[in-house]
Amino acid sequence: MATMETIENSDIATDAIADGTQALQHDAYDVQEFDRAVETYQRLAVAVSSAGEKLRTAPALIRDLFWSFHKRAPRINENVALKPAFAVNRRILEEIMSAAE
Amino acid sequence: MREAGSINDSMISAIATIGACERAIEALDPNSRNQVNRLAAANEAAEKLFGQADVLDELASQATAQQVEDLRKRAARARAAARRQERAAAEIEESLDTDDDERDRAIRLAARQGMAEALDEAEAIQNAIAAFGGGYSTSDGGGGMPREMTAQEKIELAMRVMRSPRLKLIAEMCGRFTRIAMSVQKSRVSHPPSEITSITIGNDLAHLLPSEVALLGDPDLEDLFYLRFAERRLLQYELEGRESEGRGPIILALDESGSMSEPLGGVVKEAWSKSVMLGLMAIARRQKRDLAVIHFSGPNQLRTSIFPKGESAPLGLMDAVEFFFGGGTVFEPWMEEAVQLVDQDQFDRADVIVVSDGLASISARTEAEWWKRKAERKMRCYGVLIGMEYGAEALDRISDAVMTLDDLKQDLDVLETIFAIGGNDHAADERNL
Repeated sequence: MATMETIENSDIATDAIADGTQALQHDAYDVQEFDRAVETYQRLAVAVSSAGEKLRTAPALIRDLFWSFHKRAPRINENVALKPAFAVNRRILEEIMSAAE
Repeated sequence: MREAGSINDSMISAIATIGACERAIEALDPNSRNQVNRLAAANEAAEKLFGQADVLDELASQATAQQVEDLRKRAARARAAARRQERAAAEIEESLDTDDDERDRAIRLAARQGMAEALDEAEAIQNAIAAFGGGYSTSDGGGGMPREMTAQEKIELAMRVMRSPRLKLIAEMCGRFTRIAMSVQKSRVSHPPSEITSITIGNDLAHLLPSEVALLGDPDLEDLFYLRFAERRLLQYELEGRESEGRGPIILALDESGSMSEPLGGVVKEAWSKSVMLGLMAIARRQKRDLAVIHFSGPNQLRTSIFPKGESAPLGLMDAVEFFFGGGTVFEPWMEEAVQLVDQDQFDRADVIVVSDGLASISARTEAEWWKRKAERKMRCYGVLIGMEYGAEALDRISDAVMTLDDLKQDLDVLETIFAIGGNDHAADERNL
């Protein structure tokens, strides 16, 4: 049974990522879903780490992409102030989302 | 990709993400990649240095007078370094062309290719989950009752299917076979509608409410009856039939001689017979009937898989589907095994279906024993002979009916017959006699 202590000490995301790295609108549930997917599917975990070696912004891009496929109505957050390096992620995401339609 | 089922499905979403992302990053030219990396590194360094400066200032506010000056100096140095990083980041940002149409086009094309590959993989996995996880369930009651597979089971299943072209092919074929099986079962009205469940409107004379029939008795209202009849608006009982559960068990004997791995009409015979197995399993699962699959080939090559009520763990089912002897063809051992099975209560009055691509002969002793037990245990046997007439006579001698197939692409009639056999209700048949 979960106690307050275990809940407080757990790594469960309780908020959206608001550090200017994510281009897609999302919430804490989406973050949890992605974290669970990384834990469950080893290939995704490997992809996050190997893509991150090629492109430092890739882990955030993978998160955005995952949500773009997983969410019922994914939307790019036009209001978020993305960090300059992550602006390319938004372009890539736009292209992939348009290609996926 | 989303239409293929990625919404709310973490596994399909992960596959799509990996496919699209890897290709998109590859499509990003080395110069852009390098600039993005340098920009991200400069931003991160600036953030880190500003953070260090804040900590040093904080420490200075609590430090002794001797330490204050040193801490303040270190904080100022960190801030200066952070600003240098910011300036470097700004320069990289300026040189980074965010509106490069050529690059965007390359990314879009690469992502499309990645997603197409991911789509193939996702479809193969979905086929496999449906075929081996008890899927192909539809809202109209078809295809058995799948239980929710865990993520781990899905991964194991997916990995195994992606490693085995045979399993992938059978999973692909299984969808059609199961749909035919379910459609045949649905169209068999062995339990005609008899229970009133509601009142509806229509013009079925046999089910009209007495008040509607009474209209005919009054000349003034007779025309009203005809009007409602023409418009299908007469009140009538809505009836439903109930399908009894627990029909007879099924024994499927599969020839796994080497020749079964050859194609006939472009379809591998073994894959076809295993798809029949999965179609029968869907029937067994839906009707809660026990199913035994006897794999047979040479003299000492016999393996029996039992699926109580047509249920099986996905990996166990894959074992049975993937199993293949590849030896010769000897009929006696599977016939003896089938006889032993029908001697058990679980397989009493079984329908035995044997799928083979030919045999040489059956000994007189085995044949005599077969007929004796067949009569005693009220079992029925149906033979499916694929690709040749050789052995048809021997198969005919032990079967109630034999179906032959010369082209596995033209198999609909045979499949409908097999799946109708798989739905036999011996008790009902006896009642009707």
